[in-house]
Amino acid sequence: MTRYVLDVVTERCTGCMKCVYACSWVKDRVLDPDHARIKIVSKGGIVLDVTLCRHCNPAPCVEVCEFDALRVKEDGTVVLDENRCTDCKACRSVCPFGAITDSGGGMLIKCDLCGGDPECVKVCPHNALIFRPVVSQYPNIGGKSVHSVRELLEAKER
Amino acid sequence: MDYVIIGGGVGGLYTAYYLLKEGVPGERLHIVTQEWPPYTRHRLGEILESGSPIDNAYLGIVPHLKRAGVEFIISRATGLDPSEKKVIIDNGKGISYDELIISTGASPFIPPIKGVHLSNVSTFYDIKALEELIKVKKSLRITIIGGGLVGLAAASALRRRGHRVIILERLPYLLPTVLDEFPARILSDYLRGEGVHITCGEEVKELVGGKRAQYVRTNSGIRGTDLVILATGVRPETKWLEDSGIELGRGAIKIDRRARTSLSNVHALGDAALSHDYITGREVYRPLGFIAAHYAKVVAKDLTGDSRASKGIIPTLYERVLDVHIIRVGLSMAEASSLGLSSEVFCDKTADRVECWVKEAGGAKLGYELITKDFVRRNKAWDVYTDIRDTFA
Repeated sequence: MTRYVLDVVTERCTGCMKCVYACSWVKDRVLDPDHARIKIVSKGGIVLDVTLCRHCNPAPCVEVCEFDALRVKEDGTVVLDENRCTDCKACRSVCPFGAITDSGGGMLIKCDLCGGDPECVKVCPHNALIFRPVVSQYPNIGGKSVHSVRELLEAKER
Repeated sequence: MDYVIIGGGVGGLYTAYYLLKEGVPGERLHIVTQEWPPYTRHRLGEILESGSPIDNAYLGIVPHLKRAGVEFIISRATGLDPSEKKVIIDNGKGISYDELIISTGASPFIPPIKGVHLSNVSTFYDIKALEELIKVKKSLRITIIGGGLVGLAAASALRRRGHRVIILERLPYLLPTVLDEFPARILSDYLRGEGVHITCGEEVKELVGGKRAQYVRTNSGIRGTDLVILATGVRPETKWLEDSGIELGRGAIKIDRRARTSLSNVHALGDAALSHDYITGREVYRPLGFIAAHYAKVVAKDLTGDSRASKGIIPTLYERVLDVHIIRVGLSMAEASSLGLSSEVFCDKTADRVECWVKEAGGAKLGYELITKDFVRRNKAWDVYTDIRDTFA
């Protein structure tokens, strides 16, 4: 099965918020950034950062979830089963990306790549979000293949 | 073979869930629960804060369990006769079991001070308390006694609802079971910045008033109040087991690495029981939902032939209080010391974030604490978690 990865080219992001509103709309039928699984956060001033699930494998959130609520699907997507989640938030404590958030009332949410057809990618006018098939099993950042969450963080820090 | 589960909290429900997953037929599972429908306490504060429907608290796995044929008995266990393999419930009736799983949870500790039974004094532990607080419309002076996780969840929600909130913590700093002093003091500073009054190191002596508490008297003064919330910790719900002969430690049920108790055919888990710390292997009392779920899996496996021992728990805590995020993974220096490990804490502070590492004298990482007003991305919790997992495996 082909796996896909959603890459973010932060330098192209203008903070127009189209992805954020599109996400909250397709997921929860509201236009509210709190309901979006993708976040645009300020790194100070006009420098922006786009936060969303990196679909790690193995995934920290999956490893610590004791409720069987998080799992890595066959296609590599890390998904949250809201019916099994009790809002213990252990996953939030270990996610290095802050990619698990809540939509208010203690309902945890995270990106599921829209089942393979991410809405955010379709609405981004600046090609800052790229959904592509994985050639290597591991993401490629700056010409270097990244094999673990730790390496991914280091690559992103550079 | 009939499995009887006492307690309809997350520990009991997830034990049923994992037993089903291991192939036990639903008709063989019987859950005795006091509250219906079962809910998660984790969401109470967030529901109060956001004004979202109370239904959000109800646990999503319950319909799944019902569909599978699991029997729910709305009652309360009052006694256990292990020689007859029978649990006595409210109406005096006995329920026979082949295997018993005790997950009766905990109940709020009510401190022995004068005035705690006055009409405007409550705990913040169940749906009833949540409903009462939702009804309060005008802005009140609310005193929260106890600066632990429950106290802070209540403070966050009530402050957002426009109340004047004061937290009184007996110990020198907030979240004493979660954080070390330096990050906890930074947390206090942040929360004061969001309009929460915090007083640490002050002990409540009396709640003063006729029918309602009007003043809170502490060892250093007296303050007016309209409402008081007791958030002074919990105690394991094990009184009903007094005559059963089950072995307790600090009031909680002692369990081994397979969550077996001192009685045969009886497992226990969750807030009613002790658990094991991963790093030290020591017995600890940590009333946290994910620990109940961890042992639920262990119990289900043990009862279905996979008797692998649990390696214990590496705590992984996240809380948000107003706009402040709190993360703790592994041990704090304070908890490490209570478990017999000598350690030091190293902190790195910037304008809106403090990050701390707890290290053992030999250099091994034991824990990580983060307090931030910023987004939580790029934290080092997972690094520390994996270091602990691999170092102490």
